[in-house]
Amino acid sequence: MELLSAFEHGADGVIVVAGHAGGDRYPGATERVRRRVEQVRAMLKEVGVNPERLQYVEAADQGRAAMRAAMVDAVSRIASA
Amino acid sequence: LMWEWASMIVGERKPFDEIMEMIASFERVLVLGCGGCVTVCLTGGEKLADLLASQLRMATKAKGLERTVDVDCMTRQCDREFISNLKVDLKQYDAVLSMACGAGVQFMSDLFPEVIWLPGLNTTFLGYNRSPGVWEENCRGCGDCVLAWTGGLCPIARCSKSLINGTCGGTNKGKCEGSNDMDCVWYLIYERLKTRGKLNELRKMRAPRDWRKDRGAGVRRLTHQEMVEQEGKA
Repeated sequence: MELLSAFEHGADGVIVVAGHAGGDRYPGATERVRRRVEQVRAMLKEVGVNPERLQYVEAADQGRAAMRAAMVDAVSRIASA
Repeated sequence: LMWEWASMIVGERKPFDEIMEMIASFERVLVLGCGGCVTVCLTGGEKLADLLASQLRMATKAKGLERTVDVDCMTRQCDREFISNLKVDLKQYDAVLSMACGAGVQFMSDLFPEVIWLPGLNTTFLGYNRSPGVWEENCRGCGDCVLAWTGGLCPIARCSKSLINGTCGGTNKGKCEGSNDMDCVWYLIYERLKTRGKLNELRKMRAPRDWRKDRGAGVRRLTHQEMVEQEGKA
């Protein structure tokens, strides 16, 4: 709900950040988040919003440089969506 | 892990475009979730009502239209007892998009006939949650239950032909000829009865089924006479 709400209130894009699957503190959580993001992407498509405006980054546990690169990439995808 | 199975009326949300078309001529719309069965099957509860309302607001805005879309949720939309759950005044809305099953929509429509009620869901079947995210039909509400001699497996709902003398010639290594994803319930029945040593159940002659109990005589009704009298006195 929070993801859709951000778009409804005018966000250009949303980036969901997770650790890589298997490395998450709660087993299965990353996979669940990934699926939830897909669900919301489908919902955005239904209302005519480019689903690329919702980005998913799986690099939270891979160090600062990797994280920065992933975020820059996600932002550029949102900008070109 | 043991998955907790739950049975219920199952529905699926109508296609978004169909919903948009239904509310096209209304400027004040309420999306009303139902906290009963459709919450459990993740289609019509408070959370899904919230999501749909948000989608409708976004789509409305994208089309440059003027429309307010609010949300509310009742414990159940099929029981007078829960009307007091309503936090909004229905008269404020041009239409209410109910996220309940067909019974709930009609119940609310009967109680508030001055309000325009629209179905947000397609009510699909009686069934249960087989595994996370998967619901499957297992009861047709046929009015003449045979589970006692079919090993607790319903051939009316779970056989493509609703046969009561299966298997048919289309059974295929335990699957139905209609789809490889679908078990042949008569195969399952046979195996279960064999395990129980009750295959003789299938050799018994049974009277022809009375299909009139399955909608053959029109709208079905359950009456508890003792309750009817009680209500009359009150």
